[in-house]
Amino acid sequence: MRHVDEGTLHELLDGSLDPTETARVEAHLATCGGCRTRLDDARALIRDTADLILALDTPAAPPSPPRASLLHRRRWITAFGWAASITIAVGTGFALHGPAGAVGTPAAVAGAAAPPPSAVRGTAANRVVVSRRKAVPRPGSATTRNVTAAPNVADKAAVGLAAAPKPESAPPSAPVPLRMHPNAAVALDAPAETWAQRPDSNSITLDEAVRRLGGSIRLIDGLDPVSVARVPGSMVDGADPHRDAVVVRYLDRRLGAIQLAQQRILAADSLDAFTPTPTERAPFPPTTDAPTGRTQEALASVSWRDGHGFQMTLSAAVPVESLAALRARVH
Amino acid sequence: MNDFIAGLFRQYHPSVLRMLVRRTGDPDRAEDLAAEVFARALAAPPRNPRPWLFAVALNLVREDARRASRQGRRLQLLKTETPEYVETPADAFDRTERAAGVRTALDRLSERDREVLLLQAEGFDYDAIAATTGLARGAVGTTLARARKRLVQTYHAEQEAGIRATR
Repeated sequence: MRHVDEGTLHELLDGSLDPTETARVEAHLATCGGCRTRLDDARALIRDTADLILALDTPAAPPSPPRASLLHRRRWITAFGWAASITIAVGTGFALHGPAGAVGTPAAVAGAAAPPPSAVRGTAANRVVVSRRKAVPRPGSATTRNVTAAPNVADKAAVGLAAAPKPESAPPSAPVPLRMHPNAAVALDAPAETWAQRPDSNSITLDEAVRRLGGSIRLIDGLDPVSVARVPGSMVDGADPHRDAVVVRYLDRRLGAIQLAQQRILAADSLDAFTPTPTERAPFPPTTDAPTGRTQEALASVSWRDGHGFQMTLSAAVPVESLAALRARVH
Repeated sequence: MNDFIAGLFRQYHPSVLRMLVRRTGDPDRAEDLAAEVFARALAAPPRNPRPWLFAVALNLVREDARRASRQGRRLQLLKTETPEYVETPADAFDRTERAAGVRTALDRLSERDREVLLLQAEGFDYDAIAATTGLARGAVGTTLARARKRLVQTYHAEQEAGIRATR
């Protein structure tokens, strides 16, 4: 067939090409190195354009430290809330079921945070409908000083997750509601060896992930993705409602299962990029897979905005320090 | 208060305003134009709101409707919280300089190229871009490809010229 024209390459990357045409173009790309190179160029161009347009956004109001710090804190909390929701799904060995709407009504879920300034811990919560998975929680592990207690109950009925973490270093403050991410179940709900490779109805190709993210994707240098999935919904306030979040999973011989979630944030919100707001999550207690007695490692998460309009969350069953090293390899 | 328009305002005002700020480079003027867009929507509620609102916004920019929009037809609807943040002076300098470079590059594009870029940046798909600009659906990809290339090339050319000039 004829080579793919520039407009069609952009249409493909923007996710606007119809399925028949997409199949035709992808078939050609599979056999034509020249067009693949042009596809890479187009991808870079789309990413550069998006970055330049984000640079046009000026602050809508003059800097106002006290309020800004409040806002900062709020965003930090929501980012953290999402990471926490994943951790809860994994750490307890429970998975959420049913449509997103069925998931979140208030109850008590809490998170503990690593050092950050205000050391916010959430308290108020989420009553979630959960059903029991294989793993049984083993709360109170030595590895976790600041961590949410996992429920001891293992009942098929709905369970209210309630926990009250009290990091010794943090001063008391008003309860902060944490949002339960509606797609927490998609994130991590199986033992480390299997979740990275678990077939997922939301699985997509890397190219489609790039399209859904709006032209570029962040990956971990030196690791090959095991699976890529889209996650409808918002990772944080300010996420671009027209772009899905994308979750890329890796399985490293040494580090085990690793997950990198990312989503475009709206330009106005990406102003935060100038004051990156990394959050770290203390490891969740290891859990034991009941049938096999195998221990599932503790999970740590780190969230940040990358300066190019992306909200990122990296999760892995490794110490927080190792996670920081891993984060440095995200490009 | 017209509930329908209030709903439109809540849903689209941030996006329309952001696009207008990017397009004009003047937050005050963008505010005026955005207010005028919703004032017009209140007068004649659109059937297909999103393309309509953005098409009107872009028309207003083109017609330089500053005067009309300043005749007091401001719509006092629900204001969204404006983003605020702390920025270091060095960051502010870099950002301002980069923004000025991008603005120059954007100003050198054709009106059509600018419009498709800004609409696409607001999450418009190709159908919506075609509906808003009147461009044929089949021409959107080509236009975007060209616009992106020109923006990036012009920006880099400006940067290089700037570096040479300061040597």
